[in-house]
Amino acid sequence: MQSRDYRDVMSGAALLVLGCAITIYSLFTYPIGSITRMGPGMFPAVLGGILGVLGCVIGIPAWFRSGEMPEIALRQLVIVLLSIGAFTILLEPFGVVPAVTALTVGAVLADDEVSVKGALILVAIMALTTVLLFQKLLGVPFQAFRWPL
Amino acid sequence: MAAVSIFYDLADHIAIGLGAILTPANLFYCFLGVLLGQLVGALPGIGVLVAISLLFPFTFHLEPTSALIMLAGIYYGTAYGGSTASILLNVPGQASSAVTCLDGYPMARQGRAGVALFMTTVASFVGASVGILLMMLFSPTIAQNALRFGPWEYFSLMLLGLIAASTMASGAPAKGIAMVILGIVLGLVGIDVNSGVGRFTFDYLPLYDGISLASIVMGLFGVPEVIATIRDVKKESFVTRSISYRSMVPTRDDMSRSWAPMLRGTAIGSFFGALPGAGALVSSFMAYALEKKVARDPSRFGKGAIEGIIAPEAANNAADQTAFIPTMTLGIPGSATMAIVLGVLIIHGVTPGPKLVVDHPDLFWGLVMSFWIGNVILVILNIPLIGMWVKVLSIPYHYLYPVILVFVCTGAFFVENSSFDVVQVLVFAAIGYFMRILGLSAAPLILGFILGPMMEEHLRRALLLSRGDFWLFLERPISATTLALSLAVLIWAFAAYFRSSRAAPKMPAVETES
Repeated sequence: MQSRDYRDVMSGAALLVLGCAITIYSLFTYPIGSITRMGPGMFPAVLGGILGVLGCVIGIPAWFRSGEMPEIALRQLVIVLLSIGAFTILLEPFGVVPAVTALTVGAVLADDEVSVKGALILVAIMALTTVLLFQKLLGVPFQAFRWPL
Repeated sequence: MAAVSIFYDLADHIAIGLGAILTPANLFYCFLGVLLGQLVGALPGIGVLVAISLLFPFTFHLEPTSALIMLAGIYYGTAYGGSTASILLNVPGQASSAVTCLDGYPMARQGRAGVALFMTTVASFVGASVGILLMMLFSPTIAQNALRFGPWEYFSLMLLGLIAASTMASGAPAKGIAMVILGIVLGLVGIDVNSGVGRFTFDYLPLYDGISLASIVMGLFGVPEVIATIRDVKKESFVTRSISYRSMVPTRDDMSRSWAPMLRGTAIGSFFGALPGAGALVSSFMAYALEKKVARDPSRFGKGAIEGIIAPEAANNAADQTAFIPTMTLGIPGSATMAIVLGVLIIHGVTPGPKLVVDHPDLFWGLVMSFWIGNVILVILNIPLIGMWVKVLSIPYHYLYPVILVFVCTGAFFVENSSFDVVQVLVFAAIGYFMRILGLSAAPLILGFILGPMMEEHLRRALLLSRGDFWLFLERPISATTLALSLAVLIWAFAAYFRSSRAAPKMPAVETES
C-alpha cells in the first residue's frame, strides 16, 4: 500500500504525454483541412486532445488517494521478450528450425519447472511441428535451415 | 400472409446457407474450428481472445466463407470448453465460465461431475440454439432497415458501440475510453485513403501498410497473458480423473430443476449478447444472480445447486450467438472478439454490414447454418469425448506456454510472410505488459483499432455531405437517438464508477476479456 495511487498517476501521465504528442505531431505534420473537408491531420489531432484530457481525469484524482503498485514479473518479461527477439533475428538468415529452437529454449528458461530432458523433447516437437505443419502443410515460405554465407 | 412469406424467405435462406456450408471443405473447417475452440477453451490461461488471436492468422489464406466459419467455430467452441475446467478444476477455462465454478466445482466434489458436465452441455446447446434462431429471424429485418443508414447513423452507432464496450466491461470508464482512442490512433497508422498521406509512418516504409492486425492482437493479448500466467499459475488438483457415462445420467430431480433456469439464462444471454459491451461475461453473471434471487432456497447456491451452472452456461452460449447479429447485420461489433472477426472479413475484402446480408447471402446464411452444424458437433465432441478433455486439462502450463509463443511468432509471420510483423509483436508485447501493470485493458484498444478508420471515414463523409453542419447528426432520428443513448451510457458509467469507488475505494480492477 502506498500513500498515492502511483499506478493511475503513471498511466494518467503517460496518456497525457502521448495525447499531447499525437496532437502536436498531427498539427505540425499533416494538413488540417476544414470541417467540411477534413484533412488527414484533423481526426488524430482531436483524438490526441481527448486522450490528454482523459489522462488528467485518470491521473489527478489518483494523486490524492492511496493505491497499490502491482509487481512486475521482470524475469518472465525479459526472457519472453528476448526469446521472441531471438526468433526474429534468427528466422531469415538461419531458417526456422534454429529460430524455433531459440524461442522454445528461451521460453522454457522463464520458469524452473521444465527439466533439460523435457526441454529437449519440447524443442524437437516444436521444430518438427513448424516444419511439417506450417512449412509443408500450410505453405509458409520458411526454410528449415539456412546458412547466410 | 406476412407470416407465411417470412417462412418462405426463411426456407429460402436455409437452403442458401446449407448450399454454402455443405461442401467437404467448409464442413472440415467448421469441424476444425469447433474442435480447436473446444480445445483451447478448456485450457485455463488461454481465453477466447488469445485463442482467436493465436489461430486466426491461419484462416487468412482460406476462402472468406471458410475462414469465417472456422473463426466463428473457434469462438463459440470456447464457450463449450470453458465450463469443463470450471467444473473439474475450479479454474474457469474462460472468463464467461467463471461463475460456473461456484456451483460446478462443489458438484464435482460431491461426485456429480458427470451430471454437471452433461447438463451444462445440454444447457449450452439450448442457449446456442435459441440464439441462432433469433439471429435467423431478426437479421434480415435489421439488415433491410439498415440499408437506409447514411454515414451519420453509422458514425453514431459506432460511437455507441465503442462507448458501451469500453465503459461497461471493467474498471474505470476513463481508462476504457482512453484505450479506445489510443486504438483508433494506432488504426490510423498508414496511408490515409482520402489524401494519400502516410500518417504516423515516420517515413519508415513497412509502416505505410499500417499495423498488422494479427501482430497487435497477439502482442497485446497473447504474450502478456503468457508472461503474467507463468508465475501465477497454480498447481491444479483434479477432483475426478475419470468420468463414466453412467455418472452423467441426471436424476429426475436434476431435470425438473433445470428447465426453467435454462430458459431464463437463455433469455438473458440472447438479449445482452446482442448489445454492445455486455456480452457473454456479463450475462452469465446476471443469469446466476437471477437464479439466486428467484430460488426458493438461495442457501443451496455455492454448494452444488444445478441451477447455478445451468443458467450461466445457457446464457453465455446464447450471448455468443446473438453477438453475431450486430456484427454481421450492421458491421458494428460489440466486443473485441467480434471486432477481430470483422477485421478478418475486411482483410478478405468483404465489407460487413447490411449489404453483406443482402449481397452475399451465401456467406451470411452459410455462417448461420454452420452454427447449427458446429453446435451439434460440439455436443458430440463433448459428451463421448469427455475423457479426452480431462486429459487436455492435465497438460501443465509450463509445457503449454512455449507452444503458445511458437504459434504467436509463426502465426504473425504467416500473415504477410514478413519478419517486420514479428517485430511488431515484440513491440506490442512490451506495451501490452505495461498496460496490464497499469490496469489499462487491451480489449477496448482492439475495438478502436478496427473501428477507428471506419469511423473517421463515416465522419468525413457525413460532414462533406452536410457541408460541415453538425446538426444533421441530431436531426436524423436514428442518429440522434443513438447519440443520446451514448451520452446516457457515458453518464451512467461514470456515475456508477464514482459511486462504487466511494463505497469500496480499494476494489481491485477485474481484468476481463470479452
